[in-house]
Amino acid sequence: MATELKITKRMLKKKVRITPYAIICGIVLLAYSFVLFYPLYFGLLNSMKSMFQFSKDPVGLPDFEMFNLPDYRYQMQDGTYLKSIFANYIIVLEKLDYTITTSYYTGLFTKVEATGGFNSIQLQIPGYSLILLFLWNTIWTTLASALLPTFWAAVLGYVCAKYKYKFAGFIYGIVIFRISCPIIGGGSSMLAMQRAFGFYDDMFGYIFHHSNGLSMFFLILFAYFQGLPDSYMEAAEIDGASQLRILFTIALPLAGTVVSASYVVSIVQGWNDYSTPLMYLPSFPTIAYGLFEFKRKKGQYAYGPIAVASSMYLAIPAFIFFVAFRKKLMGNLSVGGIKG
Amino acid sequence: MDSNVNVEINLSSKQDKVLKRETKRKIFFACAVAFPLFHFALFYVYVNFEMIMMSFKSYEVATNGIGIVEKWVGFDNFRHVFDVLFHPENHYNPLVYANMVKAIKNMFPQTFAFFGMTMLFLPCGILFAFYVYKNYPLAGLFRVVLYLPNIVSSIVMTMMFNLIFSEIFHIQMGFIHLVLYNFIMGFGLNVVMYTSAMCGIDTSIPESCELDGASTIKEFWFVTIPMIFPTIVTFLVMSLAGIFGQSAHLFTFYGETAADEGFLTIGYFMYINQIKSDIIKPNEHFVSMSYPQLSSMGLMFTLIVVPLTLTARRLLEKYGPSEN
Repeated sequence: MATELKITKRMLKKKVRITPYAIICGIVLLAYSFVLFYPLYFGLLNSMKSMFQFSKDPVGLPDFEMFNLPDYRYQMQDGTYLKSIFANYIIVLEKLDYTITTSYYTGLFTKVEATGGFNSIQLQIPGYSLILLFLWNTIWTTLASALLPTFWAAVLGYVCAKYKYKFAGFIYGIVIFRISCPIIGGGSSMLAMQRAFGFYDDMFGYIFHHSNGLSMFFLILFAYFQGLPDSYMEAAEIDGASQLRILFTIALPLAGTVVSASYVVSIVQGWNDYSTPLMYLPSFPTIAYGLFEFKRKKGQYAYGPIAVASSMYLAIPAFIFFVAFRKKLMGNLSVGGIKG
Repeated sequence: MDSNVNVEINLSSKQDKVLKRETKRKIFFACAVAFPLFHFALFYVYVNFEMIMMSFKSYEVATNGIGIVEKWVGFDNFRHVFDVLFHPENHYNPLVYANMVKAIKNMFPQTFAFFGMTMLFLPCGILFAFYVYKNYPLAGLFRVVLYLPNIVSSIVMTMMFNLIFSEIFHIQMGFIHLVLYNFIMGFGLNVVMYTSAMCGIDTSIPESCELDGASTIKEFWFVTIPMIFPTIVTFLVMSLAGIFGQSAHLFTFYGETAADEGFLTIGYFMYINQIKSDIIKPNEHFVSMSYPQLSSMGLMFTLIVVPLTLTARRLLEKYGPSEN
């Protein structure tokens, strides 16, 4: 039976003609894959080398004997030297600290003469506990920037696709306008507004800022719900289900594949994003932002294996996440037209 | 007579039910859209309205030292922007900040060079996406690998490229390397997006093409391109829309000091000024503008890019191939 099935599968598999186009594209894509993979391989390898070996041989395999050479950069607080293949990873945690001094004016949109002031933030936490703080900040910022926008995009996509009111068309028009008519330079007034309203550098302010439903995900989910037959919802309505129940028990579960793909994409983006926390959340460093600052400010540790090890803290979890959820990521999201 | 009354009562109760259901639907719709619309009103309409207002204002510390006062300054902010962009030597001593002056002067060519490179993605991306879509050898592997630039943080990739260039090839990052890096990172995403769009084509269409004896080139040109044309339009419009917003990974490579290395794009220039400046300009050499001046710069570029984007979209929709 198994052999029969194998034969059928082989028979079903189409024969691909190898044309010059296929050969050229194949070679280019192979080269491209190498260019993408090599930096990761290079990083993983060098994160396990000592500083001496890195400067001597950045391409070769790690030689763990090199850690036996005394190097002040691997000296711990108790005077001993780190002699482990994970020495660079440990030293990152040992030397990690985060200091930021930022200042800004507030009260721009209130009675400025009376309430305007000058605020400043200082946060200096050295040691191992900092990575846990980074991790916590990463978790909640990632969830905020992944869960809420996708949830609102799904709700909005559903009501606009299934409730055929004129206003639904208006909302669709707004999204198309927003995507195709970019307004440049809004960042400064956004910062000024957030500072004036107290959203700046604030957990709830950040979550509120990211609860945006009128995004590209709206278009993807709108298209999905439009293609879904009305009969599912109508049957539930006849059976007496409330609109809210239809949304949560029928519409959203049916769109589960698309919604979860949106979540996975947003989670990866949130994990890697350092520029948004840098702009709006200076007192809440995430892993990406904290390690970016570490690389920038750490002088002797900003270059070579220790810096590479610090970046691996960012790359390895993302890579594992990708391997685990690659089927969700690939092929479930496609961007269509923006005809409005 | 009785039966007529019953029918009427039944009808009116049915009408009532329909009316009630419709009212409930309307209430639910209103509740569902209320929060996203409020969010849009605050974070898009209000912010952009303030940006326009701010373009014509200036702020300074009050004479008594408490708070800030605002005043209308007409087009002064726009004049300042023009002066910084076209006469940077008036704002930076060329003897001390030679690279900075040079970078600001080269900001437009560099921005357009990066934009030109993104335009290169389009034909390349479609050609290679077709390879993956048609399941040529190793297509499955490429499908996975092409996702890597979206998965691995740009912090990691920029660091590795920097190290590879300096430690293996012993060369310092130059403009051409930056362009190359941006191409490498952007290319994968393009191919992935076009492949997804191609996979959305009904399988019966290419199959019927094959049965009719059409070659792969004909299938590509007469079936695939028209079928994914809406996606192509979306990407073209979004690329055009982002022309003045792209920072070309300069911040990841150099932090706020890219201008000191001689590299600047308009998007990066505005980003740095936004994170480092304030409603009153602080005294830092890589900050050229205050928020009101940045707002007027943004407004100027918006006025250029919006008609450009809308025209491109109209033209592409009018003269491009259709699915029919």
